[in-house]
Amino acid sequence: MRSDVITPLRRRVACLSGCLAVLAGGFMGRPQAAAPPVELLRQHCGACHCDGGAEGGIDLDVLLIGAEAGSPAEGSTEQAHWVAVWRNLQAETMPPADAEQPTPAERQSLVSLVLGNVLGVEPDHPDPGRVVLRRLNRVEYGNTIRDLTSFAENVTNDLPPDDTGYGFDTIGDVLSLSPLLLEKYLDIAGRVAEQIVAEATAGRTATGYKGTVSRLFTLGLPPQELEARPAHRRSTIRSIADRAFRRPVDDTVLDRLTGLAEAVETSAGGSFEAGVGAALTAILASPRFLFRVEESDSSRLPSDQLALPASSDSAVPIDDYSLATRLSYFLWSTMPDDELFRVAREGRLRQELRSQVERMVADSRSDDFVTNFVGQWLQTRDVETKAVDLEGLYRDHGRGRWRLVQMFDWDVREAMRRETELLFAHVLRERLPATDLLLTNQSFLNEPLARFYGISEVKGNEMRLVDLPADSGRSGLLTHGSLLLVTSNPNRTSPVKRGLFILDNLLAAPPPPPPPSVPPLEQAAASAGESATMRELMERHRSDPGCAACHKRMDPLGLALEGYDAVGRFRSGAEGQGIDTSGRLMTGEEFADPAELAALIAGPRRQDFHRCLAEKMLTYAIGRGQEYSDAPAVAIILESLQADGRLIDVVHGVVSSVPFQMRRTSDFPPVVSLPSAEIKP
Amino acid sequence: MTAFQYQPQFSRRTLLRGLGTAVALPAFESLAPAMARADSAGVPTRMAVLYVPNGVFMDRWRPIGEGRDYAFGPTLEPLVPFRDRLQVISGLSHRNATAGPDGPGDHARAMATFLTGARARKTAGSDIRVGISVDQVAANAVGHQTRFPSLELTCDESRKSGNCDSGYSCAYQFNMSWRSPTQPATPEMNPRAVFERMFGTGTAGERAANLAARQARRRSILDFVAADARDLERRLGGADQRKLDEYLSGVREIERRVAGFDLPVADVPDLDLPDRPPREYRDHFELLADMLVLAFRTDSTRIATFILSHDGSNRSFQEIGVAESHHEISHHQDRPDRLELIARIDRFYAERLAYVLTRMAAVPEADGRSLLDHSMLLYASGISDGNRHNHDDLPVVLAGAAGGRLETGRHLKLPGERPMSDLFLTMLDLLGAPQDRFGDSSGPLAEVLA
Repeated sequence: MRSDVITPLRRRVACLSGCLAVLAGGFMGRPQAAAPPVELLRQHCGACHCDGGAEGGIDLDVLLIGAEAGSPAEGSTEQAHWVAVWRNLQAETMPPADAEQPTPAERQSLVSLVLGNVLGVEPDHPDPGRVVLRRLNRVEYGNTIRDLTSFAENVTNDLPPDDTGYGFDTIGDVLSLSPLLLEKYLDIAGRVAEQIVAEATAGRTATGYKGTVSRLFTLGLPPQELEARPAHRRSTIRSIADRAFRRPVDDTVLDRLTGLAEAVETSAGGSFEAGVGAALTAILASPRFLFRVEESDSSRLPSDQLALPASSDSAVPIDDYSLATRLSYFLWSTMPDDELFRVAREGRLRQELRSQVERMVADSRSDDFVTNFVGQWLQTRDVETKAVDLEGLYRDHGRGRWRLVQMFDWDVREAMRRETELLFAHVLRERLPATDLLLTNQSFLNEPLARFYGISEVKGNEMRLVDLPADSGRSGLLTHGSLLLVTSNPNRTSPVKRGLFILDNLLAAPPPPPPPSVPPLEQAAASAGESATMRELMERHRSDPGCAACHKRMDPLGLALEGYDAVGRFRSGAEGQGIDTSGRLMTGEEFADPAELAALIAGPRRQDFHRCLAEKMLTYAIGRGQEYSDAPAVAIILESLQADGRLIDVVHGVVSSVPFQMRRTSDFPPVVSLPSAEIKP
Repeated sequence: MTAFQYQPQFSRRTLLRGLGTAVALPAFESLAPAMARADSAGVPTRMAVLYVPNGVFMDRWRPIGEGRDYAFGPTLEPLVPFRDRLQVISGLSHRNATAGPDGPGDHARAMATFLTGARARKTAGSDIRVGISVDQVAANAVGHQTRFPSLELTCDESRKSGNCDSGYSCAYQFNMSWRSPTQPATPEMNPRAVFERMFGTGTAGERAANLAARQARRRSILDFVAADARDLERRLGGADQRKLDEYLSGVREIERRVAGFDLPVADVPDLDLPDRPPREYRDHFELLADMLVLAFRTDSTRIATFILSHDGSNRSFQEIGVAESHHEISHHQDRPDRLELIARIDRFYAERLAYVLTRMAAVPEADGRSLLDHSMLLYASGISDGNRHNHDDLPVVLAGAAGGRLETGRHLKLPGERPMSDLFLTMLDLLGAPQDRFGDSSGPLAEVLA
């Protein structure tokens, strides 16, 4: 620390003047606020973070001096601190709620200062971020096997669960490949090929192959003339490999595959089909199948590459095949279809991008996107396995207990999961505003779920779109059984978990983690007395200053949902009397009940909701966590949502973003000369 | 207790098994002695690690008295029959699992540090890094002597969605064994898959042929995929190459096994194993434990790790009348009713250990002693008191005598805190894989030796 060398006053002057010199342009071209941002920073943050104060380890004096010299080094503590400053300013969690807040324009200029001037993010030189070779996760693998070979069994559950990061199982860095997993891949490859060969052999007629195997044996039976057989074999295998590897196969690789096939075919007891089967086994075991190998677009000139700020690196577009693969795994959790391959082969994917996305969303294969994305974003994957203790939950319900226990059964759980997934799919495909997820007065119900919700006149097991009665206590995501269930304990509600869920998954404002040794709720009960309400029990969160800073943000949100019990049942009538569901957001807006809370999120905090959706979807689609360098990409998506805010526009925004379309040039091995772009038929 | 029962996808075989009846392996007495080759040093030593999540209620765990004159507390009472074949150790710790500079995340760290002694890099998903685990160090040194260098098992069936502990990727919390600082060794959860991996598919008559066929198939495509991967590596950038390395090391591992391991594959009888694991924890556990013991007795491997449940586990235990989630109530705050439930869970897990010890004690070795006598089985948690989340004074049972070289029949109360990594150094030495240092070790833990 230099405070013993430079007096505080001199340091302050040096800091200010030096930092004013650092100012250059605003972020995204917005006009500067009246006061210089550095002065604003001191004004709002100085009490805790300047003049020797370093709350939370953040000493702005030191940081600003360092920033004068240049952007902080990648991976340095300095950078981490600046990123923390940015995140807190962005999320409006700093300055703390009880302090004087900067105006929106002032806050924007502060964000610009940190993001633009200090961290060196330049919207004109977007950084696609660092992604690493991604293997297919087990859902993607299972779907791809199905779509490539028409293998009847679902092999997904033959594979161990994937490790997750940032809440998703699509994260490249985290998806590792152990020997155990490789063994399973080899076994499945063998099983699939064995079945294909059996089917082809059995379904071989004088004129061709019957059944789904004809999709693999695209060139039909081998010709009678022996000299024509090698070419036929090669073309058959080429067509399989092109699709399996999701790009035209190299001649060297194809040579190896045909060599393998020929050896098997010409061995004792061999056949053309067995040869193709051997090649198929090798293809399915190949890293080109198991990993999504990406290449840069070699038709682009070096001058097309975009230089990255503060580094000697640049960004380069990925080629059409790579883009097609990213698209299909994002929106369908499977390999590209023939149409996508065709468009990529013709080099027209980027021109047709929008229409392709529309086609893919409308296609029923995007149900997989809904199940897998919503399953992890809103945790509907957990609905059916969540541990619940119904007897404990309804212990105090006297004679009505049995009925309540019976009401929450397997069918209700499944319907709850589907309700949330179907609503998302509906809002997506009907081109409705994303905020409809929160505000809608419709939902997808079937008879079991409707009965559980206390809504009559819904008969039958199929899920269908229903208008929700005004007195049902249901409207939008916040009152979905799925959300209420996954955020509860087995025998009681957890307003903290519910509040945290809303902050994490709807407002993109996760609070810092809790301090250690927090006493649980039940201890508060001991002192508060028998008949204390949940709200009263949580009072300790607010009375203890160490807890209040974060709990002020979470508790009111969770308590707003206290009218629904631990399995999402609405506490109507006498049971619901006296539950106070009012509260205020940490940004100050007040609400009286869940409907008003939803309206706040969808209204004044709409930007946060959109940001949350965009970040979650980017993470899922690109396979890495969001960094500060993604701020421009997210800002562009938010811009496109300003007018109508349609959910499908989030998808379009993700797909056309720099992180989705480009990679760092340094990700690829150096290219000495540009090969001509050869488009194979 | 009308707790919700998840409806499993039934196969006919599972239906026959029923919900709650275990598949019992044939009595070991009717089988030949263990197949482990006696090398020049005698019957080889085996190493097994069983991990228990969320810490324990230490007051009931701790033995009463120390040294030879000790008695089990209520929690470890199921181990009474094995009093003279194990030692309870007090005073081991994992410094690198403490909060330190990283703040919250004790459950992720407990798991990640447990067998590595290293501090996990705090990340939700980019640049996962901890350290190589002790079982993998051992596997690298002596694993080549068996068909499988090591075996990793877990009784966790599914994972919850969403985020894991406090900014740590879920990879840290569901894996205990690490092949390298960046690559976990995926544990297997399905007992039948474990069996088939070791012995092949089908009935007793078919298995050998099926296994041979599998090896032959693999041999032919391994050449292809190895060449393919090397080609591909040239077209990738640096970070991507490191990912591909995981694939290549898997290929090498399988090549080694396929290259004709000259030991015959053990002739084991038919076991009617269900396609999917049993729903009841006890049954699932016992099947996996049976596979572990079977792996040892057939000398398929000498190193095994077994996650009873991941740290932070929220499993509830209907079968012993605990409807609450384990993790929730492990924050017991000294409330008697909570402590009662935690103690019940701790004892339930200790009974599972007793099951494994019983099985291992029943396997005869070539020298007339038992598999347990020739093993080191570590049963412990990466957290001490579940409420305080502390990582010192860890609950540790070290069962087995490692061929007579480990002391047994006492409560070893170490004078100060010693790194658990010191115990690992000693275990590596006993396995014939000595190292100068491991994790945060300060030197071998000679105190555990006979």
